[in-house]
Formats: sequence, C-alpha cells, structure tokens
Amino acid sequence: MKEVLIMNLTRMGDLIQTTPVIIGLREKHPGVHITLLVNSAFAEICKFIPYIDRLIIFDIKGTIKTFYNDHDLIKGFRQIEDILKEINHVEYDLTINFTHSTDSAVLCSLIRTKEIRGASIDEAGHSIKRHPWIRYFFNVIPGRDYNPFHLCDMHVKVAEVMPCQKGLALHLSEEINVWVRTVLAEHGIRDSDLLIGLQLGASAEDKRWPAASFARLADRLAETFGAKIILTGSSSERELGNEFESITKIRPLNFIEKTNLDELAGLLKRCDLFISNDTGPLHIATAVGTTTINISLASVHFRETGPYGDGHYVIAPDVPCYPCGFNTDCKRPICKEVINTDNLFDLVDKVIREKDFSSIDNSALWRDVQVYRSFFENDGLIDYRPLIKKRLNKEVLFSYIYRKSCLKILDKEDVNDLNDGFRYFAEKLHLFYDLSSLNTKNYLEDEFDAMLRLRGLAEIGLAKLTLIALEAGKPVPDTAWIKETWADVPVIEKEIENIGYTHPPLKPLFILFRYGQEGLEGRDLAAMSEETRMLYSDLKKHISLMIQCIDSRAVNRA
Amino acid sequence: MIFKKNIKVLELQDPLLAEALVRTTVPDDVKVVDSRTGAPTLRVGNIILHSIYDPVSEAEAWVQYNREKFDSVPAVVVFGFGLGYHIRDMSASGGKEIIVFEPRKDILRAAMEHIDLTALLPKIKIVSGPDVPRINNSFEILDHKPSTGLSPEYFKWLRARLMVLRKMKKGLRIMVVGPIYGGSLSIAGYCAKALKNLGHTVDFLDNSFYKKAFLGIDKITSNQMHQDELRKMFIDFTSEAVIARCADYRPDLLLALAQAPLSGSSLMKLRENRIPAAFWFVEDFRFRAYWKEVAPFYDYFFTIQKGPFFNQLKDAGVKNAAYIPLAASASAHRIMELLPGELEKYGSDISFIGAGYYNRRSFLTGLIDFDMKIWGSEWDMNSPLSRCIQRSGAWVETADIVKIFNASKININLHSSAYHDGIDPYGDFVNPRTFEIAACGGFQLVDRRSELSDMFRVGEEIICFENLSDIRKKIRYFLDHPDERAEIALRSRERVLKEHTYERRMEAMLRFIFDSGYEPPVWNTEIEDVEHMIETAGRQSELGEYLCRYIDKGKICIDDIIGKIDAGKEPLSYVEKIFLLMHEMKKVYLKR
Repeated sequence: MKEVLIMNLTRMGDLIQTTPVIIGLREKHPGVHITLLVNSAFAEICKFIPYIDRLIIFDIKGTIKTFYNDHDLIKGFRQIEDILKEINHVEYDLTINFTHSTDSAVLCSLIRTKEIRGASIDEAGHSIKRHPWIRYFFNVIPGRDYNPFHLCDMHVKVAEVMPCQKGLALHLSEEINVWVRTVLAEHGIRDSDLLIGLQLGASAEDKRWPAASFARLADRLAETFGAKIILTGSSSERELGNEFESITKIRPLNFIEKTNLDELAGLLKRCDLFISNDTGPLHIATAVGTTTINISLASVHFRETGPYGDGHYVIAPDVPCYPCGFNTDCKRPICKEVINTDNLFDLVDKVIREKDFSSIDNSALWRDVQVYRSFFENDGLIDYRPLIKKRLNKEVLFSYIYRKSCLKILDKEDVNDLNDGFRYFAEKLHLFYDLSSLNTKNYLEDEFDAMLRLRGLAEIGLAKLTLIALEAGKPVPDTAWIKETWADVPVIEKEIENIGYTHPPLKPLFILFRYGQEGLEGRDLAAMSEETRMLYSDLKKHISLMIQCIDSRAVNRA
Repeated sequence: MIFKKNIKVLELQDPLLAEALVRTTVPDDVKVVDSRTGAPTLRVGNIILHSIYDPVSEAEAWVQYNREKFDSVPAVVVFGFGLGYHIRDMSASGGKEIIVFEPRKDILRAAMEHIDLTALLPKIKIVSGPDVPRINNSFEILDHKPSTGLSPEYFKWLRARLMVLRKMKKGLRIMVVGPIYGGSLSIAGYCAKALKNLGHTVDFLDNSFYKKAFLGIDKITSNQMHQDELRKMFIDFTSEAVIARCADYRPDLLLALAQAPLSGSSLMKLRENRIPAAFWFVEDFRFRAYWKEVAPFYDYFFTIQKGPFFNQLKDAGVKNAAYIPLAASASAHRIMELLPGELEKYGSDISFIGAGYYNRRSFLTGLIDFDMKIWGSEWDMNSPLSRCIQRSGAWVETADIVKIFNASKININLHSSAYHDGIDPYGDFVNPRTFEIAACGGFQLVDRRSELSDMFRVGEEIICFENLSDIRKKIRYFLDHPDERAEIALRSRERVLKEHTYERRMEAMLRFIFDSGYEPPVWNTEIEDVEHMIETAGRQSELGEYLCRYIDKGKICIDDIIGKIDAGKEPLSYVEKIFLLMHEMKKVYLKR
C-alpha cells in the first residue's frame, strides 16, 4: 500500500474523527503516502491532523457559485476538472470515501484508483456502497437504535486497520501553549485554577442544552469549586453567549468568536473539564486529551458520535423517544428537561472529586437519565459503559448482539468461535444492567421465532443460489433453467423484507442484505450468482450467530 | 435591363417585395463602384460593403470562414445582402434553405440594378420587412458584418427574435397544467407528450392526483353553498400549488388545458412574474361559460371554435386568440392487431363510445336493431339501450377505447348536446373522437359539423350523416362494403397523421405565440446559450463536442443536461460524470 486517498468533505468534527484511520494506516503501512481531500469550508482543522502527506482542498461552495449562481457552466466544469487533475496526479492503491452524499459518490467514481471503499457509482451511474462496513454505516440510519459502533470505529473497519494508539489525535504547536498561558494570565487565571470550558452551541437548536441551564450550572461550579469558566464558540454562538452572560452571576471568559482553531484547541487543552453538546470542539477537546462531558440530546446518538477516547462521560436521556429520528421536528423536547442543572452538576461534582468512578447509585435525581463512561473494549473498539444500573431493554440487548455478530460477519472472522459471545452475556452485561427483563416470560419469543424463520429463508435462498452459481459457472450454462430457478428468489427476498420490516430488531440484518444486493456490480451471470450466494451465506451465518446468542441467554437462565 | 430581368424572377418568388423595389429609389450616398478586378462593389456613406480589390475572392473567403456553421444545419440565415456575392457563393453548394435579411430596400435595389441575380433569386428567400418568416429547419446565423454595421439596431432586434424562434422550435421549458378530471385530462397528457416529441422540456402537472379529494367534497356536506365554498378553497389551493411549482420549475411558458384548476388571482401572479401563460379551451364556449372569468388573465387563448367566439373574446379583453382544433395522439391512437378473443370482446357491427348525453340517448335508441355496443358512462340502464351498454356503463380506459375503435366495423361519432334530440344542426367544432377513430384506422360515421370540411374531404376521407334515416342507410351500405370502409379509413388515417396530430397543433400554437411577440420570462438567468458554451469550451474539446448535441436547444441549464443523460443504462462518459457531479453538488447546496 503506497498511495491512499481519504475523502472527507463533511464537517470539522467528522474530519477529526478520521484521525484514528490515519493513525491506523500509518501504523499498518509505515511507508504509505496519505492524501486527504477536504471541503475548503472545513480545511483549517487539517493543519493539526497528523500524518497527512498531501492535503487537497476542494472549494465546493465556490464551484457551485460559479456554475449555479454566476451561471457559468463551463467555468464550473473546468474548475472541477482542475481539482480532478490535482487529485489524480497519482494513481491511488486505495481511495476511502468517508463522505456519504451522492455528490461525493460521483466524485469518487472519477478518481484514478485501484480500489474504492465508500459510496460511489458504477459505470452506468447506479449508486453502490463498496465495503461491508460502509454498507453497515448506511444501515445506521434506518437501524440506529440497535447500532453499537462509533463512527470512528466504522471508519477504522472500513480502512481495515486497528490503531494501537487509541482515540483521536491533533498535533498542536508549543507556541500555542505559551499563548494560552499568557492570555489566561491576563485574565487572572493561574495554572492551578480549575478551568472548565463550556460550548453552548450545536448544529441545530434541538441539539442544544439551554444556555440558561449552562449559566446556572456555571454559577454552581464557580460557587462550589471556585472554578473558572470559559465559553468557546464561533459567531453562530454569539447570541447564546449573550444569553448566558445575561443570566449567570459570574463573569466568564467569553472566547466566543475570539479564537482561531489553533487557539481554541490550545484553550481546550488547558481546560480541566469541557462540557459540550455534540460539536466539533467536543472532538477537539477529546483529541487534545481533556476530559469531556457530552450532553447528548435529540437525534444525537452518543454511540455514533460521542467522545472517542478513554474516560470521557456522556449524559443522555433515558426516555423511550431518545434518540429521535433525523429531521424530526420535536414539539416537546423532553430531553432538555430530564437533563437538568441538578443531575449534570452532580455528575461534574463526581468527575472532579472522585476522578475515576465506576457507578452511580440510582436515585430520583437520575430518573430518565443515564450516564456513560467511555472505554476501549477488548475488541479494540470504543464502548460506553452505563454507570447507573438500569433495566436492559431490547434495543441495548440487540445492539450488543450485533456488536458480536457484525464483527464476525463483516470482518469475515471464524464464525464457529462464539465463546466470546456467550461470555459477554455471562460476564459483562449483568455488571452494567439489570437483566431481570430477560427472565420475563416470552420476552424474546417473537424475535426468536422471526429469527428462526429468517434463518430458514436464508437456507432456502442459499441452496437455490448454490445450484444457480454452480450452473452459471459452467462453460455453457443452462440459462433457461437458471431463469426458472431464479424466479423463486424474489419471493424469498420479499419474505425476508417482510420479516425485516415487521421485527425492528432484525431490520439491520435485512438492510445489510439489501445494501449488499445493491452493491453487486457487473453483468456477468456467474459472478453475480456467486456474489448473491455469498450474501445468502452471510445472512445465514449472521442470523445463526444471533440465534446462538439468544440461546446462550436461555442457556444461562437455565 | 439587368434590373428588369431580376425583378421578373423576384416577382415569381415574392411579388410584394418586387413591387416595393420597383418603387424604391437609390439615394446618392449608395454608390456602386468598380473594384480593382472590375467587379462592382457597393459604398454606402463611408462604409464599403464588399472589397474594393476583389469582392469575389472576399466572398469565397467569407463562405470558407463560415463553412463549419453552414455545413452543420439544413438552413442558414444571412444578415445582410449587399450585392449578394457572399450569398451567391454560398448557394452554389445547394441543398440548403437560405433566408437573407436585408432591411434596406435601397441596397437591394442597387444590387438588382447592377448584378445579375436571376440564377440566385430562386434559391433564396429575401426578407426586408419586420416579419420573421417561418423557418422550418434548424438554422445558423451568418453575419455579413459590413451590412449589420449599417443597421445595427435592426439586426440586434432580429437576432433576439431568431433566438426566441429557435427556442420556440425546440428549446422551451413548458409546464402543462391539466384538469383535476374530465375529458381535457387526457388531452393535457397528449399535449405534454407532443411538446416533448417536438424537443421541448416539459413538466406535466397532472392534477388528477386530487380527483378523489375534490369529488369527496360532495360527501362532506349536502349544503350546496358550503360545497361551493369548499370547492373554491380547494381550487385556491391547487392554484397556489401550480404557482409554487412554477417557482421551482421556472418554465418559459405555461400551457393550461380547459378546467385546469387555476384561479384568477394565481394567474395574476404569473403575469406579475412575466411568465407567459396560454390556455387551450377545448370545450364549447356556449356550453361552458367559465372561460369569461379566466380568459383575460391569459396571454394567449386558443379555441376549438371559429367565428362568433372571437368577438366575445375580444370583448372580454383577450388580445391574442387563435383557433386550434383538436387532434389525435399518434402514439396512443394506433392500429392494433387484435386477438380473436379481443375481437369478440370489443368488436361489433356498430359501436359508440362516450357519455350518455341527452341527444345520444334518444338518437342511438333508433339504432337498437343493429349489432350495437355502447361504451362509456352516464347511460340509463333502465332504458332500451341497456342491452347495448357495456360494463354497466363504466368508464372506459384509453387502451380499451383504442381496441374498440379497431374492432368495430363502424364507429358512430355523435357530438354531444344537452338539448337536441339527435344531431345539433348548428354544431361547429370537431370532437377529439373524430381524429382518434381515424388515427386508429377505424371507420366512422360522424354527424355533420360546420368545421369538419376544413379538416377532411367529406365523402372521401370521412362520411357524415344528417339524421337517423340517413345513418341507418349508411350503416347498411357500409356493412355491405367492407373494402370501401377500409379505403375511406385509410385515407382518413393518412390525413390525420399528416395534419391533425397534437404535434402539429402544438407547433401551430407555439408559432402563434411567437408571432404574437412572445418574450421569455426574465427569470431564466440560470440558463446559458449553448453556442456560447461551445465556443467557450472549445468546439474541438471533449466538452465542446458533447455540448453540440444541445445546439438546437438554444439555451440550456444543468438540469437539461442531466435530463438527457441516460443514467442507469449505458456507461457514463467522463463529461457526463462531471455534469452529474455538478448536479448533485447543486442539489446538496440547495438543500442546505
């Protein structure tokens, strides 16, 4: 592996979350030359991303302005050609597209590369998702309640690396530490002072914990611990900062709109604790090693985009509607009520006083709220351990099942070794969760029955596809027979779809299967038959693993 | 002497222009002088229109310079006549339609006096007046620069008009608005299809989507006043939906069909935004009076009736009105090979398709002793006709209608009337069924209409009946003479496919719109001139060559390019992928 292109045309936070991949690639292929293609709007952060050999900045907004606002199609076309020339200066051994939009898929198809992983299009323009973990990523949207994997870990899996150096990484200059010390000293803050950073904003209103709540929390932190409070953010947070200052009794150091990314990262590094909604600065703080508390609200699911590093905290609603779907317009944002100043203060208090605590006693204060602490599991991926022991629900149970099964299926591991899967239920889950629900009569009967039916369908499909693939592989295949036999396949697939849609915990299985079908390329009958056979084979293995996991629960109970 | 010879030839081509030139005098500042080679050249004031050294060689060079453009199209428009050297040279290649615009008759006169144009004049058309003639083929414009310099304003205006004409021929973005339900719904679909076939980009707003909800209003309340109020609100909504769609689609022209749910206030909004709107009122103006409420809001109004209606439209303040009769859709209405079972099912000696209007109920009862099948709705099942009524009077789909037209030995076509016992003796317009039966290769007997003979040779291409006794005779005769039926049906079909398709109607409609001074709406700034784009990209470049396929469109935008890319079927080219990328980038950008 000599030349790798990583495409990430999305936001700053997403770019920072690409760093484990870059580290992993560097560790696995020491001589690799890494090119990063980014959107100019978020290019500033790339100065601090380590191990990048070449940075290509695509002025997407400017190009669109040229051909759409300024009505110069030819100039816009030429601008795209120019960026393609720059990108295609070398041929890549591997291109990974971490942008999941359709425009990035088309762009990906124009790149000179031996292998693509990510969203792309085939020669005729059909959308394709190359690599099992990319297909899994797209699965997160329809099946996110059952997703156990962090975005960073999905990235790592797509890159087929497993970095030894865990977490996010940003490299800051020494000068910035001097600048931070000087600026803070000017405001009377000493090195020994407890410094807590607050980020009031988020990309959408529903993802923001109220500025007033932040203000009341700050008052208590200042009063109890003598903490010094700094506010960080950009121009979009100006109004929130004003609101905060109009409510709080203290005088925070308001750095909103006053720092560049370098300075922001320096300030966050100096903080003893950083409390934030789901934002880019949350990931910067995580990357520079500052302990963070992530307030996870609305459609934000911490398992996907929470702080990626060891020893961070998440406070999230424990209500049935959390996380809500994307693009929902919630008229009663109960999550902002259940996470309140009292329970968040209590959490901060524990983080400051106790440093490393493994549980929180369940009390009225924590009703409808859960607190998690991040850690890297034995599988090398991040997990969030609940600190308040609450009843295990089906979503969490299946997410753990998927954690085990997906790793085996998508990584093509030996599926016969399931001991680890059994152990998980036996050794770990009962430490974090109240498992009494599992003993409820018929608790998983519906799902179990559906899983058995699904396995049966997968077996029938596999048998048919095996015969078809055998015939298709012959020098002169009997196409009439293949056609006749294939006629049954859509019926099987319809039934699989029905089970997927009517049993939400099994929907991810069906979606993965469907994305796999969409990813089939080419028109060669033998190859298509074989690939379809493999999809059925994977489906059968996957569902069998899950059945065994459920059975292990039964075994344990017995 | 030369002048007389030239004028004699020109008279055969364009007598009006010939007469005008005879009356024209050449002023003092227009002088024909000899060039160095001896060939005459022309001086107008200080401007010399042809080389004073060698005008013949100069003309050859001009033709050579324009060769690529000339070769690429079947018609060329030349701006400026001068003494005609450049045109003579160009016409030598032959096979092209050549239209020369020269606003100055004194120059034409000077040319006629000094150059023998007798061989050239039959090969070209000279236009000297303000009218832009019909140019049937796609064309390129070639400038004779010294001539255009003499009349810059005229040629600037002319260029703009020709650009619009080019756009009118193939490159418009047209939104077709159909009704919620009713007979004009299918016509709206045929119009949309025909416009597409003519090369325009069409957005068909099919309001039949609302049919169930709209008709459901009757079930909400039995109070007539409340029903009317709800219907009005419903139409206001659908009307606003059309406006919203317009803002998104940005059409060059909106074509609404009769009963289209568009209120006066919405049409005013279109007018405020200078979106030209046309209305094809495919109904009897005496029977449906609602046209009075909407007609003044449309820029162009088309009727299926001649005569007194135009006076009423004028009184209502309609400025641009034209007669566009109905037609057939060649793709929908076609000859079909039917299976024996289908012939049995759809066939009969005589058949009638249509709603059970008052006049039809009474007239058709008189044919009950024939092997007759009646198809369509609103028939009285307790009448003597009931045994002829098929499918208990259910609505018949177009696909079945085509089979019935094909399978019936004689198709009866009786125009509807709510107050005649049989035939409307004053009936004027011709219904769509007349054209549709003919296009299907069916034989029909149709009641006499005053406008029918404008479209068919009655007695040769179509047979009319005058009354019940007449039709009974003719039914018997034509049942006994299948060969004659077949010959008449064939002639009828040929006439329809040649002259009475929706494509021809749409062409006529757009031509009228253009002649009425159509200007594209101002919001079309996103759209770019293809010729300019090709020049910018480089004619020989991969991009330039790719864009050449849109040359007839005049102007295009990224959506037009994407609309032509056959994604999902054939491998995409490098250029197509980049356009696809731009399109997707734009979508993401607009979403944000």
